[in-house]
Amino acid sequence: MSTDPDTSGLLRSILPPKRLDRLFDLCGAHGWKLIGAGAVVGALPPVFGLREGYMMTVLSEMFLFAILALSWDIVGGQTGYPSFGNMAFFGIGGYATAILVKDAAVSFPIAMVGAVVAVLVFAAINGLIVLRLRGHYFAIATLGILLAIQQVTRNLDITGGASGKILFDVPPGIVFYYFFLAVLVVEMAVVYYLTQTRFGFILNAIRDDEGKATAMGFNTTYYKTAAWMLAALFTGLAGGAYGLFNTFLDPQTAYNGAWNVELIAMALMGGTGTVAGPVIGAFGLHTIIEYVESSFVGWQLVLLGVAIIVTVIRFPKGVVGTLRAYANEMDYYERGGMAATDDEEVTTDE
Amino acid sequence: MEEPMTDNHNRRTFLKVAGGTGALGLTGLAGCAGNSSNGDGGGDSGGSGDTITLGGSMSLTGDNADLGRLYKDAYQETIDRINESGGVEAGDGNTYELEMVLRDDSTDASTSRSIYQELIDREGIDYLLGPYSSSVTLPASAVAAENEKPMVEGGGASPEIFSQGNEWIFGLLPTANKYAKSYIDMALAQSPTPESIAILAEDGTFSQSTAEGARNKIEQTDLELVVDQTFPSGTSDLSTNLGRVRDQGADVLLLCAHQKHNIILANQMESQGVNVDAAMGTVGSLNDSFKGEVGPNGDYIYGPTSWDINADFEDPVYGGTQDFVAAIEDNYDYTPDYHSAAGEAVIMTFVNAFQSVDELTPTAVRNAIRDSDPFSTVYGDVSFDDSGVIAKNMLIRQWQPEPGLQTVYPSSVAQSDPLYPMPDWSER
Repeated sequence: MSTDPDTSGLLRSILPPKRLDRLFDLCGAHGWKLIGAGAVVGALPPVFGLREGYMMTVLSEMFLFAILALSWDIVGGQTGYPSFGNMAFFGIGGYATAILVKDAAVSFPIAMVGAVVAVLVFAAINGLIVLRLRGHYFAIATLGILLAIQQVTRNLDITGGASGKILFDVPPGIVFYYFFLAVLVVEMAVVYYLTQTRFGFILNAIRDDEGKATAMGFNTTYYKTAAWMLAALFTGLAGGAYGLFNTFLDPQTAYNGAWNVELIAMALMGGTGTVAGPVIGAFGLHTIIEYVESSFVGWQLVLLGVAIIVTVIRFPKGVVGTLRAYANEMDYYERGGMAATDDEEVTTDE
Repeated sequence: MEEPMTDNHNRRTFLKVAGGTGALGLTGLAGCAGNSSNGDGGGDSGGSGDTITLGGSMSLTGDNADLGRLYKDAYQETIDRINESGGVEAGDGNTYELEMVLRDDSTDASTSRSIYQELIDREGIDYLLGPYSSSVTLPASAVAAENEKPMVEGGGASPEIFSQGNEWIFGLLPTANKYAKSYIDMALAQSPTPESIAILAEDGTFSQSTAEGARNKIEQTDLELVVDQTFPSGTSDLSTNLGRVRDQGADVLLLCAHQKHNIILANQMESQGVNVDAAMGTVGSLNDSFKGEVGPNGDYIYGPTSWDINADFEDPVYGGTQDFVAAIEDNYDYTPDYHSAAGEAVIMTFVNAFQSVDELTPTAVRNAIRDSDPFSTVYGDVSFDDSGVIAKNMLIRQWQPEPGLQTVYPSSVAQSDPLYPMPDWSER
């Protein structure tokens, strides 16, 4: 892939493709260490005094959105099934926790276990149905699930109906900070691990050509459902904590359609089908949203929309995808115009 | 045929690399954010220097932007006038100018928490203006309590806001469960006496509280509740629910919703020929912008208000209620309603507290608000009960073809009798 001549000239002088390629290789060789280092650095701010307040809220929300975007990417990016219903898992997790904590006086950790069970059961039942569909039929079906569960929640007494659940007596903000960070790190590690396993390759094979994957003898419905449930697990965990974090949960907040679009935009902007892309997209877009909300009052949605459109047009592969394509450029020329092979990289994989 | 295979190999390596890059990104971003937070630890009080800053969020865009504007304009007009007349002479012996920082929450409850945290931590604001709508006010009030900053609000009326034991929130609207009470009392006092009632309620916290209050009130009367439906706040079509109202022959219709749905209600009642003896929308049905949107379809529709625009309460900033009405009409080209007056009273609640404290701290100001004797504003006398709610009941107003908006209930303050029953659409 070639990059824009104007920008690539400047970029080449600062960061030549070959150097970026080496950097990617270096990161690839030390992926586990980098995830570990990220976890340590993420854990440091409270140690150095950030224990409450705005920055803690913003960082907690960044981790939260990174969980959501990476979860979406397990099915939407790695498996090629773009879901518009992930917020259904979020809402179910949120309500399960809220009900258990508020109405059943269960402790937060035990409530989270309950939330996970509820989300997984819901995902298993729905996954077996909607994952038989493909393309836009799947996308519409998942959107239908989201709208249906929102309506059901709105009409149940146990969920507080349309008025929602108020959760004032909640753990301090630092608990949620570490909770969201821990879930994100675990999720990154799990996804990173899976991408090196047969399971991950089969998900990618389904995305690239499901017919061929089926012809090779893989039970694609099983793998898709497993990926769907994995996404549900992490999304449900995030939702389970969010209700308490926000101190209030109603159907509009729990099954937030705008968030569903936002988390997809985050994955796209960062780069789908990667581990880092959705996380970078979530951090980047949420930072933009926070800045715009406080600096351009009343224009935030317009500017946010423009930012997404520009990013999608200029970087259709997302940040990671675009950088990777740029880094691969020299391989193309060095191999006499042939597509680059990655024999060496395969060797390092083993 | 080779390409997919190469692609897969590339992807395999790519994913490994991307994982590492993600961790790097996580590391860098978290590190940056952590550093930037160190500088805002002990932000100066909003009362430092010669300026006191009041801050909050409001529905400046989205479905409730028309209502949000009423608060914003009333805040700004009142603050400007106070500053023009020399500022606030606080009880600590200093004179302060007032400033306002107002963010836009688009009536989205998920934005509320970070907006108020940002105002407190980064803007250093100690005195909080509440947002509009109960669902946004609930998480905002939790932030106020966590940070021990007093919040005065004129836009959240759900009783749940005040039943959490939160000592930092004060509300200037009667709680939502009171919104329909006066309307039902008024309808039962008319002839012919209505026998049935329909409730259509939006699925928000406030509207559900309003509907619940109405149901409780109905249980104490002989009225039969023939329709009780909840609809999603995002809908722009009430025709199915209005069909139920018509089919059940309800005499009285109560719409528990905001302005957008009041507009839809008035227009779809006309287009579907839904005839009832009385119809009321709980929020936004008394605004000029509502009547401007629906024209004659809005005639005979009722709305509740916590403020009588024709009253003349004394006010230290404007002189009296009518001066406030004139100021808003002259400067903003619309007639204020109770949201505007409540907005003025929000500012005046803080001003009154600033004037009465010896030391300008959030706790002292909170205590002064809580313990204050009733004081007069354009909104009427203001004081708060133990839960932080103003003691007030709703009046009922009606759009009449001539002379226009009239206070019709209770009779002690009524400008004219209610036009009851509403004429059928075929007779208009």
